[in-house]
Amino acid sequence: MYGRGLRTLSIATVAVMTLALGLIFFYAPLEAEQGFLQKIFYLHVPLAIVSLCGFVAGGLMAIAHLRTRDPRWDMRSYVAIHMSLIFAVGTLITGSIWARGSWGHWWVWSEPTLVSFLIVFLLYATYQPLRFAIEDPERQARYASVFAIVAGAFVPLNFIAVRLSSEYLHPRVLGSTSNLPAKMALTFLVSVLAVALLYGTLCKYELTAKHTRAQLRALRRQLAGESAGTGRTMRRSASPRLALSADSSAPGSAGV
Amino acid sequence: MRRTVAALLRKELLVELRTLESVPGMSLFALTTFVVFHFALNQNSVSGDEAAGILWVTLLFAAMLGVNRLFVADADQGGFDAFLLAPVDRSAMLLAKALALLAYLLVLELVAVPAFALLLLGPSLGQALPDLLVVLALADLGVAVIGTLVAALAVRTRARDLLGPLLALPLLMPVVIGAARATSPLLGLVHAEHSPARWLLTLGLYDLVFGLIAYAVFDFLLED
Amino acid sequence: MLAIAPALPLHEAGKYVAGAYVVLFAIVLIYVAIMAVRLSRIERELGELLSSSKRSSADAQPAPPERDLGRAESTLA
Repeated sequence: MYGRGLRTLSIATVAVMTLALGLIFFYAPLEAEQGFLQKIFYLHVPLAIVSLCGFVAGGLMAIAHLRTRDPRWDMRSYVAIHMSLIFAVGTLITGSIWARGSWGHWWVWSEPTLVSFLIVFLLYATYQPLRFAIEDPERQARYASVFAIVAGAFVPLNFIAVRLSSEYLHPRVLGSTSNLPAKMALTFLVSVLAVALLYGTLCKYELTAKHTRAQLRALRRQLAGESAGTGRTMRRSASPRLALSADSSAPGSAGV
Repeated sequence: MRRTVAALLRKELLVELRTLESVPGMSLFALTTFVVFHFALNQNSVSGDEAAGILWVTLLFAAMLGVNRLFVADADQGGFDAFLLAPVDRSAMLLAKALALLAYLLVLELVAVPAFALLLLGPSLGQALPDLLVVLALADLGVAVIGTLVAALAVRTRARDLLGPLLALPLLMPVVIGAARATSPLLGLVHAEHSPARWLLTLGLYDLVFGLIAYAVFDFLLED
Repeated sequence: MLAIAPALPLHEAGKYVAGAYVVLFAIVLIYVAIMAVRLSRIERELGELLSSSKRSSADAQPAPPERDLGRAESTLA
């Protein structure tokens, strides 16, 4: 059952997120250069970190899928990448807001995080069109896993390359994460934890929903089989669908 | 394995020689693009960063044309099935196709780089040539590996011509960065300098990492 | 440290900071909305399946006692 740990996880997320927000606005000191605007740092950078880790995790799950051929790994990989893409868009938007606030421009090429994310976003935005363009579900899952692995390996390399390319051009616009004073460092760590928990909760939520839909379809098939009804035609879909047999209500694992 | 690769490569090059599907188109595209750049930028000669940029954008997009056509014949005429029936290591196809694409890129550059020097480049290439060849070689390897992988991925999907470049260009961004940064000092207006070693290392690392990944992953694309 | 003038006056910077945090809020809320749509669709489909299976089992045998269903429904109210 995917939903088993969901309640605990979401409660933990709420708790840590509330703590993080409290620390951000009431505990962390104001930064000398940027003042209040710097508070965006506690949102933008954790979103970036969690998104990047999510992409890499999607690649690792894709490796598991290719090795075991278990479609559940493909589903997990899909959800991880999907959610990371959403968080990447969040990173881009919050980074853009930050850039606008500190430099007056909505986009700056001299901030390596933003630039890396633009490239990563452009790459992963092709993930769903790729899936959608392949009809056979087994081949779709296989090709998607190949893509997820290549793209997952690409993410760190891209980060390094972009960072190298901007070193001597301008000083970092939006501030770096090294040399943080202790209070800021603590706030930062809690913020990363909060965003990571949010990511985990949303992914688990998504997986539970998908699994429930799959169970529903299996039940429908079984009932239709009894009364010889017509099954619904499968729409071509970009997302993986679990095919369950109606008598096994869940794969035996504990979910995510 | 080596003999398989050699046989496949020979087939690829023979087919290309007979049909002339990819290379003339790629070269012509590059030449035309240089003319487009002349009018689009309204410049008679370029140097430094600009020159490096124009050269690499042109080479990259011309390469995309080659990537699009790489597996089309196999997909349409059953070449995949024939290959899968043979008792050979499937990665041989990856190697052969990548080497073929590399060959096409080299021929492309034989045409495009002199044309670039003639049409748009301000400073002369003489001094910079050895370094430039190194940069070209390293970048070509990266484009060949990623191009082959992406071509195999895209060829049996619905929108194969669109998906190929869409997948390849972001993946090739580090190559663009490395190649452009490495080429720019070579084309300096006053005098040519050496390519910064770090960019050559970046390109080399990229080639190595993605070469290995492509090798590990290619089998899964050929399964059915 | 508060004596040093911040880069932007507070009310200006506040707008940007608020905007950034609104983005996070919006992401989560949009997700909640999507899930709500999915949940109602699941509920509807389950209802259809339930009624169609009741019909088919009512065809096979006399209608089963409805007490259980009544009790379950009343706990929902």
